[in-house]
Amino acid sequence: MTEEPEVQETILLVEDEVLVRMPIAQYLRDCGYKVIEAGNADEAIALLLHKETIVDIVFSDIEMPGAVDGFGLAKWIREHRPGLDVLLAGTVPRTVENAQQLCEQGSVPKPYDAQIVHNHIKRLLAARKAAKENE
Amino acid sequence: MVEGASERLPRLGLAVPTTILVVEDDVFLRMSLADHLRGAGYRVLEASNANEALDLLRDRSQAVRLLLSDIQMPGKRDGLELALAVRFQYPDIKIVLTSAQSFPTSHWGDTDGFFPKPYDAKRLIEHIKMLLG
Repeated sequence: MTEEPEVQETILLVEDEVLVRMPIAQYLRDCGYKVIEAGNADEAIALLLHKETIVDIVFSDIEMPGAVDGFGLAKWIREHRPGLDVLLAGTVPRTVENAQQLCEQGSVPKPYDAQIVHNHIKRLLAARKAAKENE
Repeated sequence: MVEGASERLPRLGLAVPTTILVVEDDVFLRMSLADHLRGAGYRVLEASNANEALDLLRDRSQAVRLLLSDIQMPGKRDGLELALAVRFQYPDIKIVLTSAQSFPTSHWGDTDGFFPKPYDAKRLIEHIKMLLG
């Protein structure tokens, strides 16, 4: 109980699809990271321009609505925040895989299999599709 | 491949700390509010508009107990319309609204509280604690 708490690493998660962003963010938090959520690259850049926002890793989707996509965000970071790690993923399986890799490096033992997260995301997306068709 | 995954999802939100859904389009406000609430021990889901919020609420495994939403937001529905939809579809969820504008009580009478911006996060959290018991 007297142990010093480990300093949490912060991940800036950039993903426009909320049904992907939420389970991935929860998973990474359960792995011990502090996670800041951004819904697009503009939000991410606004956060990164703010000096008080401490970020260790940026984990971003590639295709996103708005003026800047994931590649553009990575380019902006190289120019304005060199040294900040950027992980890009273009598909849900890739996103889950990256999250799992981050989790393996996290401060807390892997809480559950990333496949569970992937299945959960698939179910959420399917449920939304079904709900929209019934509307 | 992962049989019984839905039962093993508690770490994704079920039966762990009480879950609050924060709906706020300003990313700084959303982050800061979510931080405060997580610091108070709540599990927080984040949405930037009403549609995202409704998408998240459809995931029953998250068991959201309280909706904390801004009123003015981009998109088809504002926070008042979101509150109406949530009250109708999920009557057990408590609803607290925030706004930079003042609204007559009649506008938010069927909700569980209204906090004009800028609000004191401490007072807001006290109110939420009181609502969630």
